[in-house]
Amino acid sequence: MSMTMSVGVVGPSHWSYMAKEFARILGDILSSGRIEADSVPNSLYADASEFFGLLEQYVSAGVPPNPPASANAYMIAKRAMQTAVAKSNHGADVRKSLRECVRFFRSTRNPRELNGEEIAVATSLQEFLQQLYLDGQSDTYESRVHFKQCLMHS
Amino acid sequence: MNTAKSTPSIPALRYQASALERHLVSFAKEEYPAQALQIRDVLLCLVRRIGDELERILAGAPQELDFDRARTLASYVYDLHSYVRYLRASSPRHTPPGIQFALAELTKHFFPARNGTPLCLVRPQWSYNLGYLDLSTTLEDMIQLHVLNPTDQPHTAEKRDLLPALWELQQQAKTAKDKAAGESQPYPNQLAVLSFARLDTDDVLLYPMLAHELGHFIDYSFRPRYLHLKNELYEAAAITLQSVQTALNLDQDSAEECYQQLLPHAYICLREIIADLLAARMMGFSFFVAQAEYLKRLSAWPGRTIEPSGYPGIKFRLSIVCDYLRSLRPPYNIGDFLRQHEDNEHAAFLLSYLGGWMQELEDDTTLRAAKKEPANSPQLFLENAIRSALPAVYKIVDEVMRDRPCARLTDSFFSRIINLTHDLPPSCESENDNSIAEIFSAAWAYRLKYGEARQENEVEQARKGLEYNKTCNLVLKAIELIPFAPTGVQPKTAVNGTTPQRQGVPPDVSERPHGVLGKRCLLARMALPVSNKSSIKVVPFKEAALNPVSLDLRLGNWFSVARKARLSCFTIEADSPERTSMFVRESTFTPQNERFVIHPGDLVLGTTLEFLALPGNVMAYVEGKSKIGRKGLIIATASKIDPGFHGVLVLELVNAGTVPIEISPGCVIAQLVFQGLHIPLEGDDLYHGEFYCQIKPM
Repeated sequence: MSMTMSVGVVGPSHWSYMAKEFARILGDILSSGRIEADSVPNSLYADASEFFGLLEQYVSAGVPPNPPASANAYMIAKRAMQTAVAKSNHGADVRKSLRECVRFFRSTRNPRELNGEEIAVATSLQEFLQQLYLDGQSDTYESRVHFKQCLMHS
Repeated sequence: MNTAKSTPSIPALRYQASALERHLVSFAKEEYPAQALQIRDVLLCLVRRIGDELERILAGAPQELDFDRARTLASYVYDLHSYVRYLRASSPRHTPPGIQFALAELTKHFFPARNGTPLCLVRPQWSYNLGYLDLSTTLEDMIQLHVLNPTDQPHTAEKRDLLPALWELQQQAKTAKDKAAGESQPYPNQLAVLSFARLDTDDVLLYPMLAHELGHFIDYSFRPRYLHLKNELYEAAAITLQSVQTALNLDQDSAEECYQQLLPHAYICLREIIADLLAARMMGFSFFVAQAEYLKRLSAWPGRTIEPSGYPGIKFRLSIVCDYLRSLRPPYNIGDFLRQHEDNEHAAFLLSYLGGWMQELEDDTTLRAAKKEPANSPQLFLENAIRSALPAVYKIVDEVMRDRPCARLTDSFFSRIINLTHDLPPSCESENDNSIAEIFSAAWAYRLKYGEARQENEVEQARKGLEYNKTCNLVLKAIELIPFAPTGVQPKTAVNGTTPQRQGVPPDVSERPHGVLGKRCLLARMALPVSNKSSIKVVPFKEAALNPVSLDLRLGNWFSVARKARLSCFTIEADSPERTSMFVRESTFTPQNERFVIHPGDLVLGTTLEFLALPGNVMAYVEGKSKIGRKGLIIATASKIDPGFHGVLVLELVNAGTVPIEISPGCVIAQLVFQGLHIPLEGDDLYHGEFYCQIKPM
């Protein structure tokens, strides 16, 4: 009984536009080597916060408040990270990379010059978001063209 | 010149948004429940916003990212369009208004005010299951601020603020236009769609199962969201990456994989158990029996403790519900109530029935099966974790629904059962917040003690199913009658055999054994116990409706109209299929305060609100009222009612005038003249035709 799983569980397509827009902004940041106060628009930051928030809850110690949503976001991110930037496929390494990306994302509200280490993380994050965008596009195409079974039955 | 391009046509997407908007606007209050229209209004806020954003993109010079945004907006339109099916299926044509009413009442009574303003829509679905959709969260999940509100107009700090802000804008626009009509409404911030299997539409005894879905609704709307689970349950269950790795002796990557599976499964299991317990609080005994009967259809006994998907197994969840009901304090404890009335045959039967279940549930078959699994199996780890969390689950259930009383059984429970044994709706003169749970509990008690045996005793195969069908009809009628009964007081048992005699009424009903029955005689017969062979029952009965030689009848909610555009003609052969075919007739349900219009020359089948039960020594005639007749409304042509008839009366309403006539459920529409018989009819001579226990026009 019930559709318990559905709450907070979305496919990669949900994050697709956010990922593309954020990747573009990261491109601008990387070209200038600097983050400005208004580099990331508020509404975009709010959307990205939701995704990175779910990831953060999953990769940090303890149980996330909404486990299916966090586990789902982690699985989406893990696949994108492994395809785009992972140096290793081990869970621990992916978790570490994601933690770095989340930390950098949180710092995009602080205006500053980027150092070498931050540029490397920002580049990884940009590649990760570009992959997330592509995964999202595939998800949209597949779900619409092959019409989800659940809609046909309910 | 090659004009092909790979970017979407934004005017085409805008057209789709407009089409959806038009579609939503077309939902009319005459055809859909108020809940559907409010959800429609929420969806309209979003659709209009999407349309505005597409216009904005169209007004500029779209770049690559704008096309991506337009595609995302279009995907919102596709998703929203799929929700229209919820609204459409909620019409009384598909969802019995009784279910919608019962769920709305339960929501009103049990939904904690601190959780927000709830709105709960019920609808059937094709797949065989029940379902809960947290529509508020689903819409919130769908929204992205950067897509729908890139300019931050209206200002929204978080995405959950966007819909209320759009609602407010819509209400302001509406208020300017409809201020006089007073149509401004607060934003319903907790939206749910509860689904039941379409196959179960007429299987009224399974309706208590929907309380489980309502339990999800209450649980998910708890604020602060998820915090209670995080702080209480998961600490008790102790499912962490480290605990999985240690308990199952896995390397880190395997532990990670196992944790990824176990965590959502534990979440599903705990939430199912919480919903079960909340439902048990709301519906009491009826939820336990309905769930047991429902699950028995689907799964072999005893099943696994926890299914591979994380859902608790049949025996596990029933034993949890049973333990919880037994743990409740008086007056909510069913066992205590039944033991107090042990000398009552129904109480004694139910005690033995529950005793049988407890024996089944205490048997440790499942436990023994589980013990065969290796100590480090993930399944066993999950089971142990869930069992450790159960005390915390009980605590959470009490916290989620604190200050709300549980369903309970009262003395009127037995009189409701007696009503059912005499083919009467299990109604009381006055109803209260507990009535819905008690009606269903009485229905199950009747079904278990009498219904199944009566069904077995029917010789004709075709009649075996009629017994169950009749019980369902009577229960649904009792639910439909609740809005017409006085509320807020302890139900009175006037309908059944325990009715006290009214003062000043002679108990001797043999005063006029035949001829037209007058007011005094009718009162005396209506006061007789239902088991008396001379008793006349009218449900609901108001003494003020009695005239010197007749009884006023009110109009019911159901109407049936001919679908003239599809009907070539009626034939009058007895077995003519047209009368009942949905192809030529359409049933409509008009709520209590709404109007139904009969145009000149139209024939409409309506019903009386009252459910009538005649004994073997009385027949009746239904007659028009002079006041109504003078307006041109003829109310019945087949006016004779046979001795032994049970059911609502179907009125053949004809507007013989030249002006349309408005009628409204609850208004006085006809009168009944009762006639005593010289020699009472018995056995097969009593009416048991196809309209026996009818509750709407067929």
